[in-house]
Amino acid sequence: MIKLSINGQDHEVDVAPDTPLLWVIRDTLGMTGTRFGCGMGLCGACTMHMGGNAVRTCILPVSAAAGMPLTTIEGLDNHVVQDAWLKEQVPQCGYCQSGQLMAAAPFVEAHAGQEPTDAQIGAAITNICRCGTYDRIRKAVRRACKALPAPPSAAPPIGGTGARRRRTTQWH
Amino acid sequence: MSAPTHNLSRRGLLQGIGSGLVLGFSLPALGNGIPAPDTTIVLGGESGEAVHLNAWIRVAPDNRITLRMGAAEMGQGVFTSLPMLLAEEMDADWGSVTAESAPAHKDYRRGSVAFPVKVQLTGGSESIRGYWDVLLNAGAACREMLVVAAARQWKVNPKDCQTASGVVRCGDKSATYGELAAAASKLNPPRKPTRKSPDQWTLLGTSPPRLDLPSKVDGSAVFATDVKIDGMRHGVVLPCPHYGGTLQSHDAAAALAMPGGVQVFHYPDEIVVVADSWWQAKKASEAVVVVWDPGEGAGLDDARIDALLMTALDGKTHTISNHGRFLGEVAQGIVESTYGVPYLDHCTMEPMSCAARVTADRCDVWVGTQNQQGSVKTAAKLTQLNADDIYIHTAFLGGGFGRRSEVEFVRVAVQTARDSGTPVKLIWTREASMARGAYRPAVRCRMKAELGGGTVQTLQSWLAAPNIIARFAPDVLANSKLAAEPAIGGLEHTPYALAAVRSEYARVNMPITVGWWRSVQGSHNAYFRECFLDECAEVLKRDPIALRRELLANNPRFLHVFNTAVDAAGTLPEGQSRGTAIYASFGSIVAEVADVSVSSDGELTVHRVTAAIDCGQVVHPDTVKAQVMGALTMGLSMTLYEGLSFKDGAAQQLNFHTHPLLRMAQAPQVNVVIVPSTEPPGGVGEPGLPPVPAAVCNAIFLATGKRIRQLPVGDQLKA
Repeated sequence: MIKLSINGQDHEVDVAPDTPLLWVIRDTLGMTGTRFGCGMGLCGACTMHMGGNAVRTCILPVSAAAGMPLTTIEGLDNHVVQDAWLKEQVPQCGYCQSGQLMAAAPFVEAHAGQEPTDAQIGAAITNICRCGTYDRIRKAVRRACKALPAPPSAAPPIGGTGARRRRTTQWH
Repeated sequence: MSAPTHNLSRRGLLQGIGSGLVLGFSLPALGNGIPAPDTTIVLGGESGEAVHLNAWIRVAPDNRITLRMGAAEMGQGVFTSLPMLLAEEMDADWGSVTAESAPAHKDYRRGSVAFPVKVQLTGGSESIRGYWDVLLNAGAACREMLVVAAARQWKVNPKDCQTASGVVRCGDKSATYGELAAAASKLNPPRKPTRKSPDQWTLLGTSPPRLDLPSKVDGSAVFATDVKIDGMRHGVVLPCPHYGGTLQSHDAAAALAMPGGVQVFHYPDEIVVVADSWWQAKKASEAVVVVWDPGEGAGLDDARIDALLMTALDGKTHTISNHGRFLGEVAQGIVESTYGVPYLDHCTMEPMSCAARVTADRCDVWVGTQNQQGSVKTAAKLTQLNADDIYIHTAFLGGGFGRRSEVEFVRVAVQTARDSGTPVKLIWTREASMARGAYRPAVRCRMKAELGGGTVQTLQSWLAAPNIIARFAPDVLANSKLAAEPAIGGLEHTPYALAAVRSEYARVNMPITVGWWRSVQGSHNAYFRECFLDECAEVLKRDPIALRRELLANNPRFLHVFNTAVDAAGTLPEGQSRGTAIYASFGSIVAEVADVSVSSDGELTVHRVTAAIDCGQVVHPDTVKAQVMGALTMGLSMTLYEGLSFKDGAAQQLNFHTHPLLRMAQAPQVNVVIVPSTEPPGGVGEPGLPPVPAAVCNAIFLATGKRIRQLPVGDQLKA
């Protein structure tokens, strides 16, 4: 059995240790908001947070995620990026957008109160969107950054930026 | 709005049937074998017993109005724009409106713009145009029924009643639609409901937030990959990689010994591996030893494809159009060039996926499909069931772009469910999804212009390409002008004031499957024609923008769109070059302006693309802007990077490391301007794509002096 901590809840799963985290979350635990796109870590549709960092989970063995604090789109929980995505009406088909949001959230938290450039956003968020929503994603990212107060010190504590209105993630 | 429910059992509106309130016109005759309104997507919920006023509209006692959409939502916003048509004529309170997907049923078909048939098929940028009258009439009829119900209750003349925001009023009396729905549903619908005039619209032309987006930012939207069915098993597909090939032999012994209750099914075109989980099926599929016979695909590689196309271009062609008089010997100059584009995969972000359950008396299919009708037909044929016993549950589409108008993935899922005896959900790997697609055809086009009087006088095109329609039509039709349209359309006539235009088409047969790729022939013909026009401008020593304006002088609608785009683009920043193009498709006109720079080592940056669109009357302006932005961004990806190469009829680029797609770092800033118009609505999903490659390649020429006559741009600027 492998122990997982997802969105603040503990789970035990009986799967082969080389099973990618993505498929454990989707098929074993039934949370389908995180999506499969390429199976090679190339497109980012499967992005989740592990220890607060965005990771591509279609190539991450579940054994490597054991005991780590994990967040999926279901646990993003009214994050400022979700609000900005709605205000800018970003998604089209929506399939890649869970991954886009999960990739954007740590970037936004790290740029609270700032106005990052197109180049900064493009370098940090490399997920593919076939519908071509990139220009709106950049606008939404900047909107979300602005919506967060700049931290008093240069280095915000992990998970402590106030980005989530209701934080359910347990940080170990 | 509450989260969408994912409901796989027959839903609550059967309750309405039980209470005997369903009498509305064109309502599926529930309970006598016609598919129940059993939907995969329901945005928002309703309380109490909802009442049907017709096939599209039901109203709950709490005033919630649920509108059912015959078109599939694939990102183009029809789950908002189509409900707006109904809500406008109903005078519904938009805040109480939710949308859901309709079952596959003849009542949800629409007229086709391109073909003289009624279809339940999402494509051709036709949803607004095709459902325009149907939904406006349905909404207006519903409003009249609610008014009559109120008038009878109050014993007043219906003409003295007014409606607004889901309430009927007469003097000091008022009643909500929810209160009136039960009585209204017992009335006969009016034959000719009175519709509003456009100046009475309050909703159409505004941009309320899209109804589907909350579910797409919290992860709860249900795509076919997300479907869960009781007792469902999971499957992976190994398609024959060779077009024209077939299964020769396979050995599944090692796969069958792997964990997860592995089953292996083999068919002429694919092997399907099923297990308890997708990952177990995937691992087992890697252990299947397969030998494919390349068949007709043997020897079909890039050199052979090029030779077939170029030979056809030089051989016998069919005249598609020939208008006006060519100059011949009196021409003051001739320009001639040959262009080419490769086969393209759609690369939907959701790989192909479909779930199916087959029992003795019914077949259920959960699928993101643009083609509900074709899905019914496919499932009926495989199961030997009547079409009425096939239930298509349309999920959100993780990208369509034409790829999901194909039904081969429905075929594979239904045959697997049938043969395994259990419900199965198949999710193709990215590699499998790209290996068996329905590609945009590879095309070669020779263009020739006669010059005179300092301008372009005539234009001739010879185009060689595989035929998309051949697969769907008998040979007699496949050689017709109608069938040539998806290859040569857009070249048979132009918006320009030319003395003569001629187009010739050579159909090339190859075993590679070709299909509908966003904007179809526009994806190449705008590139050929608009780049070639810039070549003519160069020979004439004319500014390409001025030349286009001159050639469009007698075509004010086009000229206005072109000028709008150029004006909106503003001053060109120093160090950048500007290319333009204009192209009409799907009933709309789009002009685009690309501002680019190329570094000394050949690094291309597309800084900005400005687009102007005249798509006639606009339902939801923000969606129009989003679609043009998305289409031109997809078009830029194709322009810069995309193309498949082949070996023995097998595509060689099967994932994003060998087949790059545009990412955010390369995505330009986009500005879309909607040209105000009172013309009938045009299409919106596709017309934004065609001008991009030409605008960008024309800008590249001005920056570097290098003509890009073969897409993608790739490394051509580095040489």
